[in-house]
Amino acid sequence: MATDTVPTDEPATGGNGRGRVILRRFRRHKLGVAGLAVLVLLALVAVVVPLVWPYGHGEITPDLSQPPSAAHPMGTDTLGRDLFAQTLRGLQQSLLIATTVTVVACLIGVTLGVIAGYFGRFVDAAVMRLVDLTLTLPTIAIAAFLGSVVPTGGVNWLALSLVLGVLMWTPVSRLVRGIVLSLRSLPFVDAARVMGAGNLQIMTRHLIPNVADHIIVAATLLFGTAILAESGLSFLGFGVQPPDTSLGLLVSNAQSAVLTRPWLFYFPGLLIVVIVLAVNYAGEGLRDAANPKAALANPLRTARRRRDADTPPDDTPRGVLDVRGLTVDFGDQRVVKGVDLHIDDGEVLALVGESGSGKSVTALSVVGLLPPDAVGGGSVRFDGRELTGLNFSQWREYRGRRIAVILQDPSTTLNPVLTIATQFKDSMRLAGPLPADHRDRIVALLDGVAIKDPARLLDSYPHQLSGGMRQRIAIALAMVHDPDLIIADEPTTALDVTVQAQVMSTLALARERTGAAMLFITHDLSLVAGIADQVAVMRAGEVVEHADVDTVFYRPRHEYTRSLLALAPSLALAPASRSAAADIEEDS
Amino acid sequence: MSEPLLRTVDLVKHYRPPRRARRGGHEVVHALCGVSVQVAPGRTLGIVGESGSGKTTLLRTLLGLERATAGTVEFAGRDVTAMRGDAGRMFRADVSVVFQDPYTSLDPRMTVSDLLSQPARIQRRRFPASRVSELLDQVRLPRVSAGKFPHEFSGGQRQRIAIARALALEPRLIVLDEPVSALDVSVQAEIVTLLRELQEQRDVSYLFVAHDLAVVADLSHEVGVMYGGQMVEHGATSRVLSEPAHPYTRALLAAVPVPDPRIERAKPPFLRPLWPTEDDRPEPCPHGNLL
Repeated sequence: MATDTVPTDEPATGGNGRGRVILRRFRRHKLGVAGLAVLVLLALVAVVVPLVWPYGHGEITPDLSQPPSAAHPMGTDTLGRDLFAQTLRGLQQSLLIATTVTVVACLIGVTLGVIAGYFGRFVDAAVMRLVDLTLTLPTIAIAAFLGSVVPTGGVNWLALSLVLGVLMWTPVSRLVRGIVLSLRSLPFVDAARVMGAGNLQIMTRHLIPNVADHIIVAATLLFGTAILAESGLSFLGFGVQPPDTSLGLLVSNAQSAVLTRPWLFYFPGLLIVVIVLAVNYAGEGLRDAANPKAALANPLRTARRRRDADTPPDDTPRGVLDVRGLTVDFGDQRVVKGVDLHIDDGEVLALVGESGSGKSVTALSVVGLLPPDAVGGGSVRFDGRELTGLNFSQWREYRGRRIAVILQDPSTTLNPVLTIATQFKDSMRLAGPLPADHRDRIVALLDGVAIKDPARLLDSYPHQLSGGMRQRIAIALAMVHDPDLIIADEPTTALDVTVQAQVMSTLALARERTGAAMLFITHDLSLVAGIADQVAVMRAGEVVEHADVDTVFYRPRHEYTRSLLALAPSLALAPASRSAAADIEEDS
Repeated sequence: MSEPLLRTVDLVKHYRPPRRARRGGHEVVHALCGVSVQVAPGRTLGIVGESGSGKTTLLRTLLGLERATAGTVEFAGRDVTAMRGDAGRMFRADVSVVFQDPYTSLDPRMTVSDLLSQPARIQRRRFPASRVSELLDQVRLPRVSAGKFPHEFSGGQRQRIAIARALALEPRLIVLDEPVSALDVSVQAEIVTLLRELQEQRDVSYLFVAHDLAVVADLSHEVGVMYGGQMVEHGATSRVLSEPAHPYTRALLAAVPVPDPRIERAKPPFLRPLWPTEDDRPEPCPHGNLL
């Protein structure tokens, strides 16, 4: 019983559980912990060591321009000041200023960004103009101006931080606004509103936690910029002034002495690098900890691999597609466990299974598009030729030309910035120069998927069309090279029932015209009753039943197939739909 | 029939497109054209229609996510159209919602126990810790789920979490917006069964919206069919299924795939929409432009 994860206080709050989860996740991020440790250590050193160090940061000793020695571990400058003492003072000032600038900039940026993104319209326009206005302010000129009016001796750190913070909040607010704009239309925000949550509650409980990881990244970048900006301003006379000092000021003062007294430059410079790196790693750790979905593993580390195929006996009947002993592993988890599939010329095989059954991964292996962390095994033969182990250019001969793929979501498979005609032309160019009559060919292809008045569509963009229309165009695109095999992966899942019926009819029509074979992948057994010749039912990585369509529907052998049939949402009063179908037949 | 729990009277929602689009010749959008529905206590009203039929606008308007252009929403005999005052507050606690996509309707940064206590927190109600386990039991999720995040669950399990959250304050009405469309067929059946059992146990009313008549029919006592912002057919489920009066209802019925190869092969190709046809179009909005 998870009593420790159930909130124990009343009325309920969830803050404690969440904080603990973040802490636990952060502890697993080694670099992040190391970065944070370095930062804490530096802050402690900056506070404690000056109290015991024998030299003050402005104290002039008789040792002029000494290289590092036991008495002066970082050497001394031309006036004989101990560089270690100066660096400690610089560390104090830089950490204090950079932290304050980051906090001020993030406070302004996040508040205005969330408000602009959440309310939109006039509020958004006003905030964005304020951003534009702030961006037009020339930082250097303002600093120079302020530097000329402040009393000698510089300004205190707080005033400096406020000025920098007020000049540097704009990237944060733009970032936050952009993310909030996309978040506010998500159903979980609507759900909170239906529960009666007010605007403030939605912004603080839902929006800010969801942009937190982006804010952390922005803040780490800001921190580094703030250290450098402070040194620039101090150099111009606004900000930290000698004899007081900061890391940035130490580095810029040492620039002329890099060759003669390099220690003056290297020690503070190195410290800036260490601080910025530590902040970045700590920020990365916090970001990953705040985002429960972030993967801790580097996705690029694993390369695409495959297991050597056990050479299958060569007595296989040819057919368009013959899959033998296909396996796919993700790490040590085997998701496809030795699948055999066979499709004859012009035949339709329906591969039916629930999500997680391995059906989509099986289809992707047929076209060699496994995700990078998967390891494939077994044999895939297309028209008698082994496809496994082909390289990219060898694949190009098959993909899109002899094997066409239609994917689930037509709104993401068509390129949104190209017109329909351009997408057809790009596909046609794969086979060589564009034929002179290409426009007529495109019209003919669109006509083949029962699109009315296709010429009118050629110059439209995908977003101007409905989902059903887009999917029909995707089908027409798949037909450009007259493929031998069409792989359709849940092509109607995102569509309304009536549109689904139209797309299914279109697919059947297009397939009959070209005589292509088809591998149709779906979770809905009833959908394939009318189109399939063969049905393979997949469950947990294995094909549990593979037979012709009538056998599967009328005499299913496997219990799982029977349960799928029983669960299919068909109308309790099937005669009604039957008579409706009959009505339509009469009408047409 | 007893006093309806929820009633909309002639609900109208017209959208004015942004000024730029208006110059391009886009007229006012008639998303809802006088829709009146009633949900009786402990009963289910199913609303079917395709994208753009206005079914989602109907939900959003009666939940107060959109402001109605005209018409009223009554809950338990009180006008809640404006969602203000005591009536509005009561409505918020008595009505909850389950959205279509369980991947985006749960805040990804909240644990399950945060999510389940969220309605109580917002309504400032007492929410004993034991209630989380109770809710998880009701939707048949293991109690250890409480400390996990939504992404650690499958689609069907997430929808169970969303249902548990909808049950948290013991509402009298749950609005179900395509609750199973994003799920596998086998999982759909499990969720529908769960919803039916919960209704029998708790006597809660459902307003169930979907594009698939077969899914709605399973759970609904009454069905309304929407097209173009209007209710084109309305009646008891068995009557609508056996004697569909409107051509659009007939088209919807014919489009549902049947798990029987002989019937499916005999169906004529469905290459053009069966309704509306050239000479049989839906009526324009009877309310004209209210903007």
